[in-house]
Parts: sequence; C-alpha cells; structure tokens
Amino acid sequence: MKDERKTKAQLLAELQALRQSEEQYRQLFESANDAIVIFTLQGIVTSVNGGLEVMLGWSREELIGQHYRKFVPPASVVLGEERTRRFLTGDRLPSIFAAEMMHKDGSVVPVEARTRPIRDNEGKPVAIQGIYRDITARKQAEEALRESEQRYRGLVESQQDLIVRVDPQGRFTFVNDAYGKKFAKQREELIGKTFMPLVHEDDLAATFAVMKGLEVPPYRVSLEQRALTAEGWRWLAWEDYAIRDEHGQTLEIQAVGRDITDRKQAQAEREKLQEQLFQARKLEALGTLAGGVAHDFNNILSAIMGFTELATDEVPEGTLARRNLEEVLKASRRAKALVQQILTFSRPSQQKHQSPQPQLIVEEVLTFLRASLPPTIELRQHLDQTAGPVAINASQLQQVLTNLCANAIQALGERGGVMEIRLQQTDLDDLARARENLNPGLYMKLTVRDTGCGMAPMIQERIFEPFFTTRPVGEGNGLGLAIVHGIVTGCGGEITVASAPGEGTTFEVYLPIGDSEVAAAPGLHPSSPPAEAPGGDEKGALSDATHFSH
Amino acid sequence: MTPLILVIDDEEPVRAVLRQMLEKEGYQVEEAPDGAVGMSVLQDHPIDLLITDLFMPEKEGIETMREVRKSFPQVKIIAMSGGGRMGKLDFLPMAESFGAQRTLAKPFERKELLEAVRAVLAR
Repeated sequence: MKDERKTKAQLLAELQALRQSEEQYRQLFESANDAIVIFTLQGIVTSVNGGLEVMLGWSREELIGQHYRKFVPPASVVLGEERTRRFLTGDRLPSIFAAEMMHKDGSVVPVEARTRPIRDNEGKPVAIQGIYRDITARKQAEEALRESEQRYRGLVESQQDLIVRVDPQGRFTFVNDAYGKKFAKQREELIGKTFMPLVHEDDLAATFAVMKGLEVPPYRVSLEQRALTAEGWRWLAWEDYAIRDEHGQTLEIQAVGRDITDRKQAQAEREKLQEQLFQARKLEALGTLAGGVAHDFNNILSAIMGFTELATDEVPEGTLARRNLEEVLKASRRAKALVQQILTFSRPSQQKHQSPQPQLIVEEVLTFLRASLPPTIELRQHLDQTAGPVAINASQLQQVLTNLCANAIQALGERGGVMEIRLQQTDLDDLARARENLNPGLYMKLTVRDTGCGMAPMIQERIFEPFFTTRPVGEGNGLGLAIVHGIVTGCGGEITVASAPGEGTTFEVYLPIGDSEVAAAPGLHPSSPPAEAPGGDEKGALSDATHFSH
Repeated sequence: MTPLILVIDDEEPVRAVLRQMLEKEGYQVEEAPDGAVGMSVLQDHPIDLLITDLFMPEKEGIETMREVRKSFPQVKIIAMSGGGRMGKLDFLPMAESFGAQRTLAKPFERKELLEAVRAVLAR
C-alpha cells in the first residue's frame, strides 16, 4: 500500500515538473515561426499556434474544433488523410512532404509539412501533430529559376549556332541540338566523351595556337576553321570562352560556333571580282598608256621607216649595207605590228559586236566634233544614260554618228543652225515595229536632227544610195549615208529619214539592245544597196518619212 | 605642171621624210608645222594636194580640213594619223566624212603614200 500511494510531496513535485514541461512546450509551441497544428485522427483541430495564425490569417478560435479542410485545399486534404491512414496501419513514412494550405483570403500557401502521430502510453496514435513551413518564397525562386532555365534552354536549342561546353580535358559537358545535327551525332554519344571533328590540315596549326589564348585574359578567343561536318567541309567561326572558378582554374570552355561557309564563298567571289576588276583596270590603263604612246611612237616609226626606205635607194642591191637596211625595215614593220597589237589588245570592246555603253562613245564623238564646229552651228545633245548594251561595235557606232553629223553640218551650210543629237532607249510599239520591219524588244534610238535646208521627197528616197550625192562634184563621195545604212541594217536595226525643204532633216537610227549575237557585218560594205526600189513603199507610210527595208 | 603638195605635220622628221619621198617621185613640196601656217601657205601657193596630220597642237587636223574645204575647195586632202591620242577611238575614219579623199595610218610605207597621192591627184 505504501508503494502505490505517492506522498503528497512527491505528487506535488511531479505536478510541478509536468507543469514546467508543459509550459516549456507551450512556449515553444507559441513562439515557433512555423505553423503548428494538432488535430485528432479524424482531422478536427484541437490546437493551433501563433505561427499558423500569422501564416494563414485565421484566428485560433475560428479553427479549433473545425476540420482542417477549412484551411487546406482538397488535394492536400486527401494527402493528409492518406498519411493518417498509414500512420494507423503502422507504415513508416517520410516525415517531410509538400502540401498546400489556404489563407483566409483564399490564396494558396505552399508549405513544407512535417507530420507525426502523437502516441499514447501504449504507442497508439491518438492525434497528429503537423508543423508547416511557408515555402512561398522558395517556390517562387524555384519557379523563376525553372523559367529562366527553360528560356535559356529554348534559346540554346533553337539556335542554329552550335553551342558546346567541354571540361578542361575536352570532354563534352553540354551539347546543343544544332551541334549534334551538324556532326550527325546524338547527344549521348558526345556527353562525357571527347570528340574532335576533323579540321582541315591547313587550319590545325592556327586552331591550336589560338586555343592558347584561353589561358590569358580576357580568356576569349575567336577562330575560323574548316571542319568536316555531316554536310561535308564547311567553314565554321568559333567564339570560345573559358569559364573559370574563383581561383582562376578553368572549369569549362564554352564554344559558340556558326557556319560561315556562305559568307566565305561570297567573300571569295567578291575577291575574284575585285581581281577581275583590277585586271580590267590594268588593261584599261595599259590601253590608255598605249594610246598615248602610240601616236608619238608611230611618228617616230614613220621617221625610221621613211628614212631607211629613202636610204635603200642610195645603196646598191647585193651590198651588205643594203641588206642591213632591209633588216632595219623588217624590224620597223614588226614594231608597227606590235603597236597595233597593243592597241587592239587593250581595247577589247572593239572586238565585240557590242557596245555596253553607247552613250560614252556618242559623247566622245560629240566632244571631238564640238571642238571643230564653226560658231554658227549650235550642237545640242540629250543622251540617255541607261541605253545599252547595243548590238553594234564601237567603231561602227562612231562611223554612223560621224557620217550623220557630217551630213547635218553640210546641210546647215553657211547659215548654220542647230544640230541636235538624242540617244534614248525605246520599246517600239507594235505599229512602229511593223513599219520599221523590226523584231520585238528594246531598241536604242539615235536621233540626228538639223535645222538645215531639208530635202525634197525625191532626194529623200535616194539618200541612202551609194554614190548618190547632192554635193557638187569633188565634194563628198556619196557613200557616207550608204555606209550608215549598211552598218545599221547589218546590226539588225533600221534607219529612217524625215525631212521637208526649208524645215530641216531628222534621221532616226534604231539599234537592238541586248546580248544578241546579231550577225553584225564585220566591216562596212556599201555594196549592199537597199533591196527595194525607191517608191516601192507598200506600208502606207506617212508622206514625210520614207524607209528602205533591207 | 608638177603637182604641188602641202605637208602639214608637227613632227619635223615626218615632214622631212615625206618631202624626200615626194620630191624623189617628182612632186613639189611645201611644208607647214601646223594648220595656221598651213593656211597661209595655201593663200600664197597653188596647192593641189594637202597631206595633213589629224592631231596637232595649234589647229586640230579636222578643223584645218574644214577650213581648207571651205576656202580652197579645189584642194584635195589626204589625212594621216598615228592612232590613239584621243580616248579609245581612232579618228581616221572620221576624216573621210570631213572631206579627206584618202587616209593614211602611220607609219606607212613609201609605196602606200605614193599610191594614195597618185590616186587622189588623178581624180
């Protein structure tokens, strides 16, 4: 009996200790920042700490006696009930799990939860204690990081650029899709392994040399190399960057590469064109030089050849001196041919039956003419800068313009007047083409107009006839306009004349524009007279214009 | 009457060569170093044929030719040129259009010269 009954003092001491313990617990319970809830196995809240009140905005009076679903969203309720069930069946559970609770204002608070059963003396669960930590901030940070990583990954993966990272031993730690595709390798084949695509042997030395730059500030290098990719040899441009730790050790090397094959090709082509242009300019300069020298050179040659020829008269045949003089002449002829060659060689446009910029030729002729015109004649010119290339070679165009101008000057005579030259690109309308017997397309139209005496219809009809001339005997040979006609029609063009006595004359020359390999007459042959007799004009032409078809 | 030929060229050796060649052939020769002097020679002498270079400092050959045609229309003309000089074009073909009966490209051989002179004087 004595053992069963504790003394009053003992009981008091135990009670005191219990109260102290409870007090300590209560203080801990209240002062904890985390939210603490104690609820029955059925989920009814029996106790709530200040931390919970702060976290969820509820006061304890509102929650005690309520089921915890009042402040826990359904999914977490399910979770909680599952856990309680398993506590009861004696399962071991991880003490920490993620869950959600609801603030009084309805917002969700993500929490890290620790729940454990409170057991009685026999170890049977009688209640559940839950400690909950608000992880909103952490979750937000995690979310931000995930988003950022996704964006980065999205960027990296959608890049055409090749992005890789390797460790200091050259093993891949990161490879983007583009790189894998470029070298036809799967990511798995590369990560953790070293792989060096085949680099062109000419670029190897440069590549290694440049990599040394990663060991010194700014720890960045750029290089270009040819590498063998899945599509064959390509030019790649790399930007490499050494990622270093706080001790200056290289952790990783990041490399971003770009296929610059197209750019390199364009560059090579541009260089080729520049070279061609340079050569063409050299040739042109040579031509100009040759042209400048030729005149004087030919004068000198004239003296050499001329005097030598005269000297051979004084020296009897069969003598050594005579033979030597013959040699001098032979050499002079060779010199003459050489100068000719240089001149022709440096004037390539002369050999083609095409003038790419006819307006330049016209300008040159007119400049020359202007200097030798009498003051009574006013020369007007309107040259379209876009005309060309025209299917006529330079010297032929020169001849045509010269002859037409000579004709105009002669028509203007003593009284003078206006001589007008026009050069334009024109697309003849159907009617005009039919009249002129020409093929469809673009034409260069050269107009030479004078305000001179004009021509009567009878004269107009014959104007292109060889040897037909209105000039007095001894003046002119009547071939000028015939030559023009021959050249123009030989190039696939046409020439028309419109005139009236006292009202001046207008010649219009149409020449095809384009790359046509028109069978242009290599020389001028006035022996090709107009095929139709004058007056055989069946096309109902206007009375003041006639034309001859060839 | 032996034909009288006027040679206009700014190069003295060229004039000398032509003079010798023509005189040997029996022609009479006058000389001028440029068009201006040439015109005054034409005033003072009954020139039958003018042989002139196309490019000369004082008066370009074409201009001289034009003046000669105007003032001395009976004078026949042969134009010569060394090529080059002005741009890329050869202006010899133009000379024909301006009244030259024949053209000669330097350096020409004696027989070319004499043949041209003969032909032109014969017209």
